[in-house]
Amino acid sequence: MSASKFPYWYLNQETKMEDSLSPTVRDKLVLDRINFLLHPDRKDTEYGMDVFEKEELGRKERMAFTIMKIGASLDPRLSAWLIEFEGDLFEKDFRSLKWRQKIPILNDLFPPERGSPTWMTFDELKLALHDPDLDEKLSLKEEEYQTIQSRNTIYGSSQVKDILGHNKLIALDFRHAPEILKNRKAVLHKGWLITKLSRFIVTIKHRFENTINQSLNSYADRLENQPNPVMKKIAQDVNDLLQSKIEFKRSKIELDSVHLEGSLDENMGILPPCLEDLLLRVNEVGYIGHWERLQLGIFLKKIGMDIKTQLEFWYNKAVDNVNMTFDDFLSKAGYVIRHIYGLEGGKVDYEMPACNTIQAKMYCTFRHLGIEHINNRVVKKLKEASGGKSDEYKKLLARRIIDASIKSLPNIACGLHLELMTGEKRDKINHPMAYLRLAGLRSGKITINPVDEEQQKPKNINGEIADE
Amino acid sequence: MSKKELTEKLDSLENIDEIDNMDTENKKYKDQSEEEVQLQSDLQKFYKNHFDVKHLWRVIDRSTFQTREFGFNRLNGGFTRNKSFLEPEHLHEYLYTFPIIGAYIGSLYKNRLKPKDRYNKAVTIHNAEWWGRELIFDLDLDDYNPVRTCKCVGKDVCEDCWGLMQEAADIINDTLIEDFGFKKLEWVYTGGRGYHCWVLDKHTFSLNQEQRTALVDYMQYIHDPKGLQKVDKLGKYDDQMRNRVLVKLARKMILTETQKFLIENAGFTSTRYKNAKKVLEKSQLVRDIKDIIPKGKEGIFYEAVLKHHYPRIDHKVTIDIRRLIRMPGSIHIRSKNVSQYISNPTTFNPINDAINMYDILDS
Repeated sequence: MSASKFPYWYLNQETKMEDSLSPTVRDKLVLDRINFLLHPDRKDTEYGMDVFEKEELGRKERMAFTIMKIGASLDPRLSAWLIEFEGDLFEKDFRSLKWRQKIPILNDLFPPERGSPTWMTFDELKLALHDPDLDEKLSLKEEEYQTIQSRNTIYGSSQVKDILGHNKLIALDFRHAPEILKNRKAVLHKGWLITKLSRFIVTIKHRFENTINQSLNSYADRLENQPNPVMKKIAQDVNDLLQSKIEFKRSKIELDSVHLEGSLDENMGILPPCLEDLLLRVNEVGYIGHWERLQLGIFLKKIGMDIKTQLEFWYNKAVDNVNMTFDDFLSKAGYVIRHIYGLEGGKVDYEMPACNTIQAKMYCTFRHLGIEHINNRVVKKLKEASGGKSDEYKKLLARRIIDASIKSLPNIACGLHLELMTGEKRDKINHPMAYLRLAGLRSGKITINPVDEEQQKPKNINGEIADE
Repeated sequence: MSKKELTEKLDSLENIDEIDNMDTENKKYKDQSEEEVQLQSDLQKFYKNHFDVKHLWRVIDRSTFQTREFGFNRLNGGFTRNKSFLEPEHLHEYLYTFPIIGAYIGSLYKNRLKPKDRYNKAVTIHNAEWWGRELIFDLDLDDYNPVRTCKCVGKDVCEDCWGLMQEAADIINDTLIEDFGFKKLEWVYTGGRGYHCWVLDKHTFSLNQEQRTALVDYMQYIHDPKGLQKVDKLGKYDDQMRNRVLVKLARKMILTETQKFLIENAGFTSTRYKNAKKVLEKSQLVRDIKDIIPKGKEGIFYEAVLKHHYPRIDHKVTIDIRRLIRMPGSIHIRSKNVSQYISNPTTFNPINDAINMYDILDS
């Protein structure tokens, strides 16, 4: 595996950032990048460019990417959007690279661990294992040619040399491809998953997306714990720009604010399990992580808690407010809460994230809690459960919740949890407000606020209502 | 240990939580039956004189001891976890001071686990940073109740049904070494009706829950073993497993199961059955075993082999990164057998080979 230069568009490489970027230039970089992510066409973009021009284009793309990460790190929905779109673009670009050009990217995404490689070609693996007959033993054969289906049906399919390397047999450390391992989509030998490169491309894409996620988490931590005022301002400005330009997928369920009758404590039984757990944790230990605070903060807003009550809630509960006056608190942590209510920055009214964002970035009971804890939690809940016709049926539901969690099906597990607690049957839960709505309506504890239709209409990148 | 000795122990313990519990123990002391008192005394004698903490170093690294979680089941019915010890001697002392009917090892954390005190909150597995744990597999005869064909009921064990455990261990052992490339495995008889397999390769220590789940899913071909018993098909990438199943399970099934069973469950006819037995009594070759599979009924055949003989792994034990596992060398309270390291799980048989606490105490 010899190291060679990355393609110009590869984002995980060092970039010389400008010492100071004017807001206008910065915003243009970001807008250009958003447009490109929404309509990626490299052939069109790089048409007529020489090598130096492509390198400069790559540098600008990396700058834009870095700036967008700083802004997106403040909002889980933006983070999830960025990861998804950059991931898709990466996959498209990676697929079109020749095999030799793919190698440095593979080396970068799967670096050696403790001096041992985590990926290699099948030929290299045979040498490493001192087993020249391994292909015969495992019934593996590398195809030098790939079949291309002609668009012209007269010619049918043809054989072309596989210069992109999609048929190349690759060996990947089993720890780095759990999806392929669990579904047995490759041969496993001595800890190496072996199959054609084309079957690994989604794994490679996920690995790339993980690097973006780690970077976003790092920015989020820095912005929260070591706030550099200049960086914070940039983050807020870019965040606001992204919020105004990016169209998020909206669920078909009406996700309006709901008004809860009675106090939070009285309504614990109808809260989505993730939010119930977060509330209990805040009560118990006085501290939850950054993204979890955002998750709970937005939720409290959506159930009708006004900003003053929420500020007091966090001030009284959080352990890191010890020895801090309320005024100090208002100027520091209170800033984030005011942002949630649209009183700071771009005045964006934060929506409650959907379950897929929560599972990726925040806290989902059935995704993040250990199996034994889910088991204990469900067993405890059996006593309060009002769903199910009999105790036997409740126990069956409890077992099914645990099975779904073990199989990494958190949405299904949550649907079963809803049925256990309230009797309301749903195949899956995709949004915590949907859970609350269904559980609350069953128990008569909620009312729904009417929707502002104008606000709900999708908008284009310029902020205008899009054509139907 | 007398009540006086129990009370004197209060001063030697560093743990306020334990002191509170000890007071409770004292109060309950006089309510125990004679049998419980004798059992308590026997357990304490065993742990004091015959348990060596150094045996734990076969499965856990000595350097990880101080921030390792331990859990215990007590004779009075109490279960406690979130325990760490500064020194192995303290663990030993704990074992023979309290009437312990179950001792367990957990994961490694960044800090020692501690109860709350006047100045600090409790450090428990919920708020301590998890640092890793060994990869462990649990095989239990309980999961084979739907397919046991011997006359055993409930918690009974015989040579026939224990054979299922031996087969399962054989397959798991082979899969872990050949497919995963693991080099350090330690097999432990739990003292009851099963095995634990500890994988001690360093790189498995930090496997997260997703990776452990994927690993178990790869190995698990039977889902909902006590209920629906859904069996996965062997796919196009499963040649190694297929050969393993044929040589280690299918051949034995054909040679030991009845003709009636094979006709009803595995697609055999009486003629094919007789021919198969003749061939397999002399051959263990994969190609010969493949040849005797009823033509057009490969699916039924493999399903029968997997359903009745393939290992039934307890998912939760492997996946849960905070699980407590029975401590090797400790006593399994139902059987009073010692949970012991074994060199060959495919030949070990608890009926003959298990070590009982009373055998040790009496000798």
